[in-house]
Amino acid sequence: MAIGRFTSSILMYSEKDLVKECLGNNAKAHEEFYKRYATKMYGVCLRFAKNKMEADDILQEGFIKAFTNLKSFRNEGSLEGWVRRTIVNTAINHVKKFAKYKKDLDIDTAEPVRNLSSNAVDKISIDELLKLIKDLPIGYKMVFNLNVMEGYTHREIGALLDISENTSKSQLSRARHTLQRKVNEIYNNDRF
Amino acid sequence: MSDKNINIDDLFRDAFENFEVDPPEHVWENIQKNMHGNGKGGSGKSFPKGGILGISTIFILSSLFFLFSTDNISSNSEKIALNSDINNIETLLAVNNSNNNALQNTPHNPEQSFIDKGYVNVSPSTKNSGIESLDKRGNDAMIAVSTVNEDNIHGSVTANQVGSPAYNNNPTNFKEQKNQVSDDSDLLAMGSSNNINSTIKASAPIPEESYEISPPVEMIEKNEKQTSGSESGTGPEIKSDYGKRGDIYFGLYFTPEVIFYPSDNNLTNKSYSLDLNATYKFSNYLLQSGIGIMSSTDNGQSKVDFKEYLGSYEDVYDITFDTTSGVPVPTYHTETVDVYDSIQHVTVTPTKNKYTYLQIPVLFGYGEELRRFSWFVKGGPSLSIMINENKSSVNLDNDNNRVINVDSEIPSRIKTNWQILLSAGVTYKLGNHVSIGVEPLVRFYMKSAYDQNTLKTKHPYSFGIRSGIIVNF
Repeated sequence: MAIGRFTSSILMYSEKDLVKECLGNNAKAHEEFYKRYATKMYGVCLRFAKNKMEADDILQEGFIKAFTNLKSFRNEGSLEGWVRRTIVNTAINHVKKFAKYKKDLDIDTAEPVRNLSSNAVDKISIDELLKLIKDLPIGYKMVFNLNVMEGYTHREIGALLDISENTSKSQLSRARHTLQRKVNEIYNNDRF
Repeated sequence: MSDKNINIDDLFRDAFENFEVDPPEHVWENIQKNMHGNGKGGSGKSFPKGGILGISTIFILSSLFFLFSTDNISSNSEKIALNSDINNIETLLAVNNSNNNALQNTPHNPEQSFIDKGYVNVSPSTKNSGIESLDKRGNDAMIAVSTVNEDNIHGSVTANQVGSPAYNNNPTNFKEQKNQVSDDSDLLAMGSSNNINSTIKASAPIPEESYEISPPVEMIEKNEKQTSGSESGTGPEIKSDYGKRGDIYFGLYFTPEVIFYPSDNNLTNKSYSLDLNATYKFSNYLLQSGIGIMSSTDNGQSKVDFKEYLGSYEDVYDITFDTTSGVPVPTYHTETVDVYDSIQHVTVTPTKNKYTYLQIPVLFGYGEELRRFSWFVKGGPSLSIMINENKSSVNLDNDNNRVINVDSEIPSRIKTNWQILLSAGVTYKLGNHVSIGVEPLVRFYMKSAYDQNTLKTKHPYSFGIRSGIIVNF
């Protein structure tokens, strides 16, 4: 995926100064803040959202939230990590409004996931992978994104989504199985 | 990658590691509008502008109202000044004569026209031989003059106004004549109305022509009715709530309310308010304003990013040697260093945020009285200004854990908010000065009480029951 046009512009502020200027309601600083992180964060939004319009909403809401709550950033981690968590939390809240993902699946019913052939991997584009994630049932998508892509533990996911730890595990197992099946389908279609 | 099997997690993780996409331009435009310009009071920073605007509006309305009131008062004052003596007497005159002739008269004084509905009650006396003889023999007549509440004056006898110029047209003369009251004069009669509050004695030559003046029939009936009501023990006459001029009432109300956000999964929110207001009633209309304190609570959750506390160690940051005894003895200078897990954790904790608002309504209404009950409807703008915000602190299992970030699910609230308030209610008079009232109300919010973009509902509404006690002095 091409690097976004925003990231190619010259950066005026260091991370610390950028935060300071944004807190001072400096419009240029706000713009630079957005340019620095918008493309990466939009990628995150696209993984959580069911379509581009929803991703737009999440990105917009997330950045407004980031600007509003920037004073709570304590300079103890990276600013990008903080923005990412804000965007992910916004995405969770956004999706929670419209979706139910409390379908309690038994983890024992999930089939084991086998590794993919590297040949299959090479043939799949990132757009196809993104579509695979988007097409997942909402519960699978949330747990897969949070656990695999964002590194949250099942306990943390349970707390965030208000589901049990076991439900989170079972949803992840199902998500993996579904994705693997679909990746194989793509590979087989391409091969033949 | 070609010879190895790839785990599905790794496949996606690797693919999206540097995944970047240009967002549409309208996203940044919308963010800019929210942050810098067209937020139009949506953020907390709008408080000074919105607050000043609101307070100014209320100040202007109040000023106009009091100017209007002052004009009336000064106008009346001028008239009252012209009738300074008679003003104390007001309208109800009771003159007793020995012939038991009931006479009524209203001083034919143009300057008294402000008591436009006054009446004079002249009732019989028991001792004196009559007004005629008083007049002819030069004796002092005893005139009992009672005052009534100006607002309760109903009758009119202007058609029968007759009298000597000395009595009727010149209050000064009347005053002088009052001073001629003799000690042995009789107090002839007192008005029996409960509205009679004071009595003065005055001597005046009562013109013969005025003997036969009768009060309007309806006033006699009313007076009799009031008298019989009092005598029969039906309790004091209840003052009318409405239809009077210039009455000010003070009320203390408690109001529980439920706010509805229909576009946000039927989100509801409760609030409680205590308010003190003043109501000015003129004719059947009322104007009400005051101040109130409203308390509201938001319950939700906060996501807390933290690093777990693992322990501490003593870090030696300096060593000095003491060689005074010939042998170098090291002294270690240390400081305690806390150690945290390198992995960042997240937990969700319940959060309760409390908000306190100052409320300033300006309401205009209409009402009528039905014996002890009265009903009314009213409506108008109401301004809420946040005066206190108490966000609960984060509670982690271990207080030594280092909090990296707190992200509350609860949307933040804006500082000022305008609403349109409509209510209808009833009051019940417990006595002349005390009433209780209850009024269901509906409040339409001009915009959400929360920051823009956090909730979908742009115009929440609330229902409440306002109940309280009303007093007037």
